[in-house]
This record gives sequence, C-alpha cells and structure tokens, in this order.
Amino acid sequence: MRIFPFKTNLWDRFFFGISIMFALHLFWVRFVEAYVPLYVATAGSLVFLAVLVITG
Amino acid sequence: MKEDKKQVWGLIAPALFIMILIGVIPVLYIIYLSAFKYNVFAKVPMRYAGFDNFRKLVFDPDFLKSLRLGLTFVALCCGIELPLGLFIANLLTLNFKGKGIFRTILTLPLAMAPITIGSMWVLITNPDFGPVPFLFRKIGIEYNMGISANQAFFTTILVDLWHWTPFVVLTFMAGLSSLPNQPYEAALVDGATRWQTFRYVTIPLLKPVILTTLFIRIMDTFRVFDEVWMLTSGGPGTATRYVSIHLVRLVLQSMEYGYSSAMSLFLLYLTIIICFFLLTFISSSREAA
Repeated sequence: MRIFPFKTNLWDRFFFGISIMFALHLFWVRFVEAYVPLYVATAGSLVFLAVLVITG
Repeated sequence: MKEDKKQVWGLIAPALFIMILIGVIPVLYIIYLSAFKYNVFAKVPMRYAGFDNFRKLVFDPDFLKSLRLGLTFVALCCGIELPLGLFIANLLTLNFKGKGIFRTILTLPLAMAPITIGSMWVLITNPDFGPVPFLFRKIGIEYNMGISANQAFFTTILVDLWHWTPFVVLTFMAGLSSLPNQPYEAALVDGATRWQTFRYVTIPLLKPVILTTLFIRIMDTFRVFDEVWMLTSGGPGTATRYVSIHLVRLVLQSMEYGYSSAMSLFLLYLTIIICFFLLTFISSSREAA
C-alpha cells in the first residue's frame, strides 16, 4: 500500500518525512504540549518517518 | 569508465566546494545555533536550549503577525503580477507602432537595484513634494504613508508590482513565442473565439511557464527586503514589517542569534515546502504536456 498518490523515490520520502516531523513538532508545541509531552510527538513522528520511508 | 568518473568529479569539485562553503555550512550552523540561547553581547555564555527557541517562535505574536503580513503580501503581489504580466505579454505579441520602445521602457525597472527603487519611491511618495500625494490630493484623498498603515502596505505592493511585473512579462513573452502553431491553426479551423483560444489553448500550453514564474516570484516576494526597508523600514508601527524585515530588526536590535536562527530556519522550511509542491506541480504538468 502506498501513502503518496504519486511516484516517489527514497529521498522524496525522507524529505517529506522530515518536513512532516518538523511541522508536527511545531503544532505539538503550540497546541498539545500543555497536555502531552513533546517526546510523544518525537516518538510518533519517528515511527511515521520509518513507515513512510519503507512503504512510500 | 573509472577515469571518466574521476574527471567528472574533478570538474564539478570547485563548484561543489563553493556551494558547500556558502550554502550548506551556513545552514548547518543555523541549525546548530537554533538549539542555543546565544546573545553575542551578553555576559552569559552560549547555553543549550533544545526546542525552546521554536517554542518561543510559535507563541511570538510579533512574528506571527509578520508572517501573516508576509503571506498576504506574497498572495497579493503574485495574484496581481501574474494576470497583469500575462495580459501585457499578450498585448506585446500584437504588432503596433512603438512596440520596441514600449518593450525597452517596460524592462527598465528590472535593470535597477532594489535599494535604488526604494529611495526613488521614497521621493515619489513624499507627502510634501512627491507627485503621488499631489495627485491624490487633487482627487480629495490625503496620502501619507508615514501615518497610514493601509497606504504604506499598498504602496509596498505597488512598488513590487512596478519593479517585478516586467520580469513576469518577459518570461511570458518568451513562453508565448515558443508555443507551437498547430494548436492555434486547429482552433481557428474549429471556429474558436479569441477568448476560447486563449482559455483552452494558450493557458494549458503555457502552464509550465506560469508555474515556474510563480515559483520564482513566491520565493522573491517572500524574502522581500531592500525596497520595503528603504521605503518604510517596516512602519508605520508594524504595518509593513514582513518576515525578513522582522528578522533583521530582531538581529540588529536584540542580538538574539539563537532565536533569530530558529526563525530563519522556519522561514527556510516554509519556502522549501512551498517550492517543493510547486516543483512537483511543474514536473507533473511538463509530463502531461
């Protein structure tokens, strides 16, 4: 199963993963950190990055 | 084969070295600095701050306001420049007397440095002797961008349009002149009107050029500095304090290098994301064409 609707290579997926990771961290800090610590976002986004890079 | 590879690396090595020196190393240094609390003139030494600078960034009302202003500026400038440039480029495909002179005059702003344009427009919009306030006064409007936030904002947009629309015109003219004749002949045979030909033939064929120009203009308007700095310095108040101006003021006034690095990194991130999506669109539209 592919996540992106278009063709991507390893670099594209890594780039997307890092970008989403950064955006998620900023979102977390702004809205969620008061309730859930930032480490949760880091762990979640690292898992997401791995899935993204492997499955594309 | 191995010799060829060696030669290729040897040939690109100088350019690669310069690129790494002036492109990659500063970015890496900014990434490093963004994780520290660092004030050059402070007595306290550089201190590790982790994600604190970004934490401060997302809650900073001044930065969020300047970001909103910057994005509005980008949307308005690109939203006006592209249709206007396309319109003028289409007009310039027609044959009329004085076309060459008009084209030369049109490209003159491009030859001028942005800082010169800023100083020139300071004189043009001077409320005491500038022609713009004088003409506005004739129609009953008091024009003084030193005290009116809206007037200052729209003046910066006007200056950007004046400076960069010729660039859009030039790229569109180059694009229009490279279009094939066959689709136009087919449209003529099918009895298409001029508008239909423009809408269904010219625009789709010109799509890669339009997207490339949009890509360049978004990057340029997002980091606009010189003209606005000369014209208003971000004022009155914070009416024209776009992101790059906010950043420079922050660095010059508070000397908070760590926080400023986090801010520049965020701006770089935004620019890269916007450009990446545009480039994906451009390549997909090129493949479709």
